[in-house]
Amino acid sequence: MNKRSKFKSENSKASSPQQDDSFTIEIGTNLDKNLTSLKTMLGEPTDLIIREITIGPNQEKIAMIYMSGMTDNQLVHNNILKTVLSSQPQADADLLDYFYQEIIAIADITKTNSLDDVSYAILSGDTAIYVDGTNTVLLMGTAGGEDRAVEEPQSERLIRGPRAGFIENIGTNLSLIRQDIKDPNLRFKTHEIGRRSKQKLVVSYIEGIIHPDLVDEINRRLASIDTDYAVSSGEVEQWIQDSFLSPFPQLVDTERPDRAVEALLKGKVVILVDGTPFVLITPVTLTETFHSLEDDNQRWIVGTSLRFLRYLSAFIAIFLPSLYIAIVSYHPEMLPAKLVFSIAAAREGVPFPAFVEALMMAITFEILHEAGVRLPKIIGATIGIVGGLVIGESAVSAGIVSPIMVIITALTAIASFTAPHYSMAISLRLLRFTFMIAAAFLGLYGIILVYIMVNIHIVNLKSVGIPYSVPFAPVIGKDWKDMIIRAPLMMLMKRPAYLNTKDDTAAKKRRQSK
Amino acid sequence: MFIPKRGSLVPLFCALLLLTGCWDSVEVEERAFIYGATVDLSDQQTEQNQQLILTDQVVVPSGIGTSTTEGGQEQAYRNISITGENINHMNTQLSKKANRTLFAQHLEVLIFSEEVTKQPEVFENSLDVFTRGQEMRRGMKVAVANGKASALLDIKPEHIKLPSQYIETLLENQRSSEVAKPLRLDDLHKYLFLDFSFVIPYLSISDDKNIEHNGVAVFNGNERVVVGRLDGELTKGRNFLTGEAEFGTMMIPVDDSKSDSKSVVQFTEVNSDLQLVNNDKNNLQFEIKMDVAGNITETSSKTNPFENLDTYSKALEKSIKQLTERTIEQAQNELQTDIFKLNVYLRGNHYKLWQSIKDDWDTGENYFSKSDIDVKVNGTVEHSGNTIYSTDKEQN
Repeated sequence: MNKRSKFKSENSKASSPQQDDSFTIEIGTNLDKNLTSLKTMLGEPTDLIIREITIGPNQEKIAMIYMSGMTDNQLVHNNILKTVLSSQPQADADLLDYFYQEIIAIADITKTNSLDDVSYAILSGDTAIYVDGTNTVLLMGTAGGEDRAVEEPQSERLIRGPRAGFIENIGTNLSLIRQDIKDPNLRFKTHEIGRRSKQKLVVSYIEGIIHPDLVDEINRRLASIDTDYAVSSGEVEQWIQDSFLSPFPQLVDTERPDRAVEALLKGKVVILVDGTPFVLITPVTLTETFHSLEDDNQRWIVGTSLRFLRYLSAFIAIFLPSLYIAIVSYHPEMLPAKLVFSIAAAREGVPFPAFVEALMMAITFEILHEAGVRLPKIIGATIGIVGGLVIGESAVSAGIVSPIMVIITALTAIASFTAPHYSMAISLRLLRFTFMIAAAFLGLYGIILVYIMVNIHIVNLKSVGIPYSVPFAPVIGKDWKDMIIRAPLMMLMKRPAYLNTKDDTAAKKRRQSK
Repeated sequence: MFIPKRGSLVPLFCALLLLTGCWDSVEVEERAFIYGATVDLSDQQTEQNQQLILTDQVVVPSGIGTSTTEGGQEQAYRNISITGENINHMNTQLSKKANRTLFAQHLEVLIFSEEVTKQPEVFENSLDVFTRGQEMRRGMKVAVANGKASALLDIKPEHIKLPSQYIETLLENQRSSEVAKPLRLDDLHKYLFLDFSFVIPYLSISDDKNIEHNGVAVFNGNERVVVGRLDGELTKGRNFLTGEAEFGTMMIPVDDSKSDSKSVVQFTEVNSDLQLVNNDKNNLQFEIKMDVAGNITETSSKTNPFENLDTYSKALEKSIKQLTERTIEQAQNELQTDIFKLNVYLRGNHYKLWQSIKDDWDTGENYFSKSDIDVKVNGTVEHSGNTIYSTDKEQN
């Protein structure tokens, strides 16, 4: 009992380093003391740069502090250091005010009295100026440092669409959204997550479109996050999702600003997390996870056909191997005679039952896929050759699997990658194994049982309180125009009805006077 | 009513999962697919019972090969025969000779030898296993073979590896009007229930590589045996009367005076319309109106078809009328069996009349033979077609 409580107290101590007694939270008036307490707080890191300057007729001491590598160096040198050094303050001037008002050529400048604020600002890449004799510190927004350029996202490619993708810097990401929506009602509500990482997390939505309850609910869920560090938006997703047992993603991630903008304009919430190029979109429905921006960018006939193709692929990805198992092991009467004979001929000599054969191939594929992702790009090409040769040729000629199984594995694998959201594609590939096992035990009957179970799960699933199966169940007829088919734009004047938006008109036909 | 308690549902659901299951699975390569089956009479006969021979043609998939790998010289089939009294019993006995699970759901062709179909009761009894068996498909095609039926399964067609598959496609080929439509087991079963007479496609071996599909066997629904057969020519007449002749040609004499002046007409359209004229069951009068249209494909007549299409039309009408009347006479007098689907028509359109005569329709009193069938042909030759005259005309 005693031991446990001791452990507990230690634990709580470790989790809050500010509580340590070795330095004070308040900033004093003595510069040296202030610098020492700051250094102690940060643990005298090597990348902390403190530039002490003596300035003015009174030889007053000031100190400029920032973290190297996290600031925009040009800004620090030209707009702060140079101007401060070349400044000539009056003898009786309040140096702090003088700097604040006249010298420093940076717009984002604040005053603070709290050491916490100072340390947080410095760790975020801002620059602080201490002036001897005052307990006020100037903080200048100089955050910068190394950033990746805005380039085409790797995970979501479009043939016809913008070539921009989000990057790791949340400021850039916000500006990418702002560039597309110049609506003053666009809101960025900032949260801070990560007790130690202190990451910025921004909830973005458009006031006046979105249903307010949705924002409240998301803010409530985000407030419940209590973690040291959110590695990426994926971790945030797992904190706030509705069902952690579901194989289906209830928030989707995207690297594309255009997709985020589209979601905002539909009346959804976009969550951006600092340090990750993946932003979260919520709520989503099952059908929407198969929609790509390509559908909207192409004319509606093309868009609709592409959508059909994607839904078909989803079914192939889930069902094809299990159907093969069921038909080969239980129901050969379901196929035309000639096809059965050719399957039987191909399987002649294969030593395994269909289930083992299919499982082997599916797992081999998963291994190849995983290896392909992990391997350096240079070796990556080898995987293609080795995989293709090993699986395709050798396995067949060695008589371990039948050629038809190779076709099925390949087709299933390719079909699963047509899902525009990678998180959905993984879910489909996972579900496939469940169906395969069911088919191995009970044939078509088993497939149908599992299919019913999956359907029951889907109609029970919710994404931020909105049914996942909408607009199928509950039926919202209006939204069917942009579900399986993508109706012509002229028919898509309203925002999705299931989101219950305040302003439901997305577009209007404008009469032209002749 | 029995309402299960909630607790008792759990074992029920478990049973649902456990009672079906992987022990019922038989991999596709471990099954022996029966594609064709024949039934013959055995030479050894006991006194009470007819001994039958059942032959199953089992597919050897590796012999067929896949599209990429040639099947090699291996034979793609295997015929298994067994002799016995009862087909169902024989079916189980067959498993003794097969190393794999016999699987009849892909059974497509069922052939009876002519002798079997002529034995009262034997034909019907042997059909039972095929019509009522759980595994059997209703779509399998039934045919009658001239001579020994199992010999058909030993034919070695050149372009196809399975003899029974060859027979199946042969039965489906309707490019000639001298054959009947394929008889599905489903229809056969239906006719037997309704005591209808019908025709069964008739096959005979022409040489060791080919089978000829020509004419029909005639089954009398009241006598319940095959009473005879029609040759190709009369089958064509029958197909005209029922309107089933879709394709095919006919040789017509154009000028009566010269015996060698004949012309071949290819049909483009054959329609027939059947009407019952009176209601007197002892002297029923039917009227069959036919519209036949066709093109000339060949002619040795001196009559120029361009100017004299009417002459050709008349000749066509005359030939068809002669042929159909010959067919009717054969059916009414010799076979005494309704092969023109008059029974279907009467049951559908004159049900009361049919009820009163159906037991004596083509047996006993034989109202069918007594009835009067009047044929009216409206023949039209529409084009002169690919004759030498068409080139003559172009040159002029």
